Amino acid sequence: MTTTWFDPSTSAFEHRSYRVTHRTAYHYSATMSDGYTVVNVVPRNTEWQYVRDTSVELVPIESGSDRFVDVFGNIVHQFGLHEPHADVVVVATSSVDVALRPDPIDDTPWEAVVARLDSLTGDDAIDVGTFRAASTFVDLGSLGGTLREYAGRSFTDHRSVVDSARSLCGQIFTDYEFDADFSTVSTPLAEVIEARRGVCQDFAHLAVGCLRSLGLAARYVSGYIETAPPPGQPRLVGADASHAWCSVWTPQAGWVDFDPTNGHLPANRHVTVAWGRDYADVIPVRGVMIGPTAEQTLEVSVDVAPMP
Amino acid sequence: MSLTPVSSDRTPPLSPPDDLRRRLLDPDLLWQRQSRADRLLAAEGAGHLVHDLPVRADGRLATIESRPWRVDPIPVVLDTATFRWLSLAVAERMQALERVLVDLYGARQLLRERIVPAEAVAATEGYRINAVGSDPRRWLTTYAVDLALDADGMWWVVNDLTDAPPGLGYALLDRSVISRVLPDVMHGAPIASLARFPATLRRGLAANSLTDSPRIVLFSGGLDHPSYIDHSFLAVQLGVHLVEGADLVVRQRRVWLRTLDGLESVDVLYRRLEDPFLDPLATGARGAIGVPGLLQAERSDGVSLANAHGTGVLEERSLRRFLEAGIERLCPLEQALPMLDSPGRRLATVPLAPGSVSPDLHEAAVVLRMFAVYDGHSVQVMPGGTARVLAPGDDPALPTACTAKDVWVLGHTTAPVIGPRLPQVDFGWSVPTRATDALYWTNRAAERAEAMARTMRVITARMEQDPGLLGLHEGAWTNRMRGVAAAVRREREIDPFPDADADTLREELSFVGDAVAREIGSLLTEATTVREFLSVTAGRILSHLAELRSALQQHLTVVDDLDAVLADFAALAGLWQESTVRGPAWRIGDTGRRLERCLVVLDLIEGTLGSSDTCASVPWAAGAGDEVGAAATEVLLATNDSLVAYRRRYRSDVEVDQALHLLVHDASNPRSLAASIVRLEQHAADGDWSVGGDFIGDVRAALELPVDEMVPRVRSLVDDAGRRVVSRWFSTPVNPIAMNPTGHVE
Repeated sequence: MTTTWFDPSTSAFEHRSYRVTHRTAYHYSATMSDGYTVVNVVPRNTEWQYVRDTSVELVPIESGSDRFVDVFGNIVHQFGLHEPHADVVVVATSSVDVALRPDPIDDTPWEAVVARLDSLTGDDAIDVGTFRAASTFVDLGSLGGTLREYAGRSFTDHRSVVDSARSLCGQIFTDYEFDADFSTVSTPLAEVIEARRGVCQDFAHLAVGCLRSLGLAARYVSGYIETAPPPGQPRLVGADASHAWCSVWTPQAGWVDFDPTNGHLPANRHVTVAWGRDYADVIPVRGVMIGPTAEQTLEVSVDVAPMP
Repeated sequence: MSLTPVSSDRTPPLSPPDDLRRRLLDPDLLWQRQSRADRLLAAEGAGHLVHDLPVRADGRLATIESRPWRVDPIPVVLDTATFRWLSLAVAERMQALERVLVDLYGARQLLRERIVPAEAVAATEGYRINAVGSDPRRWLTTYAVDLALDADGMWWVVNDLTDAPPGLGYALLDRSVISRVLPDVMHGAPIASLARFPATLRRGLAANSLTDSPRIVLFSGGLDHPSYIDHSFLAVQLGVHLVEGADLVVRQRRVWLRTLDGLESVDVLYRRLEDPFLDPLATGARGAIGVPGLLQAERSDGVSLANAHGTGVLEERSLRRFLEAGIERLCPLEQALPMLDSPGRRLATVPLAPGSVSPDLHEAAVVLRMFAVYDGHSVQVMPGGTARVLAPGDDPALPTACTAKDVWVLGHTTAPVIGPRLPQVDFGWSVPTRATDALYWTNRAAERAEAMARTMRVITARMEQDPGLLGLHEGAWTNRMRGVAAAVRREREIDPFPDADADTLREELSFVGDAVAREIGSLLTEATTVREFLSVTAGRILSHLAELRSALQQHLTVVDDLDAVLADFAALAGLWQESTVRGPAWRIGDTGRRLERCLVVLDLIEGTLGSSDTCASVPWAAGAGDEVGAAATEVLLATNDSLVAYRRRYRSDVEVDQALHLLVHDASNPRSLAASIVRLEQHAADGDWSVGGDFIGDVRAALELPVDEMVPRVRSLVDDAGRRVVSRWFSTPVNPIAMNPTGHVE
C-alpha cells in the first residue's frame, strides 16, 4: 500500500494552517563540557498534513548537527555541543497545512482485520506488522489479558474495526481522568490502569495496548493540538503542549487516528510530528551531557497558532 | 547434507587416542594437576582478583558478579577430521548469519516474505531500529558458537554468539594455564597452537577500516562488566588498549580517545559491550554507560564497530526458528548444524578430573565454544576453544557451570607466524587518561599499604621480642606506639590511655590491619583496570596479595604473613622501577608513589614524636638518652625501612636528631623526604607538566624548619601538590548524565 501525501495545492479537502513553535529549555546548575541532544520535534508529511517549512535551532550554536529520517519516516535531529555550557535551548518552528479529514469508512469486522494482518506480505508486512508487537511501554506479556478484556467491551463480535475503535476511544475518555500530576514520562502502563488516570501519553499507550492485545496494528502518534481559549478570552501564546494519540490500521481506510484523551477522531486541529511503536521511539527532546553532577531544570512551551 | 563427519574406524569424537588418554587420565597425577590449575588460574587473577568488591579510589563501588571458575586438567580433544569438519560448518554458518544480518537491516526481504515476521522482530530488544538502513563493511567480524555432541554422534548448535561474543580471552587464558599444568603431555602430542589467533583477530579488526594502520581499541564495560577478565586478558594478547566509555568521546562524528596528550582518534572499536549499551542516545538504549554519539559516528563512517551495532538480534531466542528458516531461504548450508531442539537430549560425555565439579561426578557432558574471525577475506576458525562442563540437569543453552575445559585440536599444525605483522601500539605513549589515573592511585595505595604493613610488622615484632617495653614508664612506650599505629593510617586523634597495655596496642594494630586490607583492595581494583601496563609477574603478585588480604580481613595475620605482604610490595615496587616503560604514565604513577612516600614519612615522624603541638615539649625529643625515646626512634627508623642505613652510617645508638636527618635531609637514603623531592623534581622536568608551581622550592625551604613546624608545612604542600596532579590530569568529569526527556503531556 503506497501512501499519498497531502498536497494542499491539488487536494479537494479543506485545510487549516498553523504556525507551531516548540521551545524546550534546559538549565544546569553547573557547566557541562559536552552535550548531545536528539530531538523529534519537526512535523512530517502525512496523508492529511503538508509541512511548508520547518527549522530547528539550538542555543548555544551547536558544534555539529545531523538530520536523518528514522525507520518510521520521522525527521530526527541530533546535535553535538562541545563548548562549555550551562543552558541548552531547542526551538523548533514549523508551518503546516492540516486537511479536514473525512470520516473514515471501513466496515471490515475487526476479527477479519486480524486475520488479514496475519498474512500480510511485502511492504505492509513491515510497515504495518511492526506495530502489532509489544514494545517498551506497551507490555503485552503481563498486561495482555487485562487489556484484551477491557478492549472487548468495544470490540464485540463482528463489529467493524472503525466503529469498535471509535467506541474504545470514547470508553477510555469516559473511564479515565486527565491528571497532569499523576504520571511522569516513565510511568508504567500498569499503574495508569490501576489508577485510571494520566495524561495523553498514558491514554495513547493504553489504546495502543488494547488494540495490539487483540492482534491489531496500532501506532503511537506524537504531535500538537490546537486548543481553543475559554469563551470570551484571548488565546494565550505558549500555553499549548505536546500531545499524543494513536492510530489503528484498517484494510480499506488505512491508518485511522483517534484521540482517547479528547474522546474523538482528529479532524484538522491535530498537527502530527512523528509516530512509532510507543513514546520511546518518538521522545520529543532527550540527550546526555558530560560534566559534573548537577541539578537540571526544564521548561517547555508550545504554541499552536492558527494562520490565516 | 551430512550432519556428522562419518568415519568408520576411529575413536569417538571428544576422546583422545589411547596413549594420550592414558597420560591425561593418570589417576596418580590428576589431583595434583587440578590444584596446580587452580593455583595458576588464581595467579592470573582470573579466579580471584575481581570477585571481591573493593572500593575504588574515587569511592565508587566496583560491582562485579564474576564467579571464579576452575579449569579441569583433562582437555576435550578433537581429532583433525572432526575439527576440519566443524570448522567448515562454523565458517559456513558465520557467513550465512552475515547474510541474514545484511537482509534484516537492509532489504528486509525475510520480513516481506514473512519468513521472519516483522511483529516478532519488532518485539525484541535485539533488533535495533536505529541500525536499519546502516551498511557497515562487515556485520560479524567475530563470531562464537556453542556446540554440543549428542550420544549418537551428531553435532548441534546450542547458541550463536554474535553481539559481543564472549570467551576468547578465557579460552586463551585456560590454554596458558593448561600448557603449564601439562607441559610434558603437550610437548609429546601434536596439539594445534592458539598463538596465531590474536594476530588473526587483529587483522580482522583492522579490515573494518579503510585506514592502512588503524588505531584499534578494545571497548569494555569496565570492571562492572561480567566478562571484564575476558576483555582484559584479550587486550593484552592483542596489544591494544582496553578502554571504557569514559575514555572515549565523540566529536565531529569521530571517536576520540582521551589521553594525557589530548584527544586521539580511534578507527576501530573492538566492542565487547552489548548492543543496548553502546550509545545512550540510541532508541531503547539502556543506561548511560556507553559513548554518546557513537552510533552517529558509526553511521557517518567515523568509526567501525566490530561487531557492528545490531548483531545481537541473532541471539534472540524468540527468533530462533525464524532465523533458521532465514538461513535456509538466503543461503542453504551444505553442512548445516541443526539447532539443539530439546534441553533433554542425551549428550556425549567426557571424563572429569576428580572433584573438578563435585566429588562424585566423574564424567559429564560439555558445551564446546568455538571462535571464528572474518579476516577481511575469509573466515578463520580458532583450532581450539573452551568447553563448559554441564552438571546433571543443566540446560546446555544457559550459562551454568563454573568448570571449564581447554579444547585441543590434534594434528592441526600451523606454520610459524611470518609475513607482515601489524604494528603494535606502544603502551609507553598515548596513554588513556583513565589508565594513568588508575596507575597514579595504584602507586599511592601501594606505598601507603606498604608503610602500614611495615609498621604493623615492626611494632608486633618489638612486642614479641621485648615484652618489657610494654610496661615501660606506665605504658608510655605503648601509648607512643599506639600513636604511631594511628598516624600511619592517617588517624591523628588518639587519646593516650593511662597504663595502656598490650591489648590496647593490639587493638590499634588490628585497625592498621583493616586499613592495609582496604588499601590492598583499592590497589587491586585500580590495578585490574590497567592490566596491560603490568607485567604477568605483577599479576601474580597482585593475586598473592589478594590472598593475604583475606587473612588480614580475618585478623589471622602473623609476622610471617606481614613479611610476605612486604615482600610482595617490594616486588611490585621493583617491577614498577625495572619493568615499566618510562613515559608519561610511569611518570605520573611514580609521582603518586613519591608524594605518598613523603606523607608516610611525615605521618610516622609525627606519630613517633607526638603531634606537632606536643613534639617540641616531649622531653626526650629534645635530646636523647631516655629509654622510651630511644625505643620509639628505633621504631621510626624501622617503619621507614631505614634502621639498617642508620646503623651503617652512624654506628651508634639511635639518636633522634640523626634519625631525623636521615629521614628528612639525606638524599642518599631513598626513603627520605629529600630523595622523594629529588625524584619529583626530575618528573616535573622530564614531563611537560609540573606538580604545581613553586612546589619544589617551597618544600626545600620548609625542610629547614624546626621539625614541629616542618611536618605540618610540608604535609600541606604535598597534599596540595597531590590535588594539583588530580585536578590537572584527572578531574575532568567524563561520565555521561542523562538529560530529563520531555514527554507528551496535554
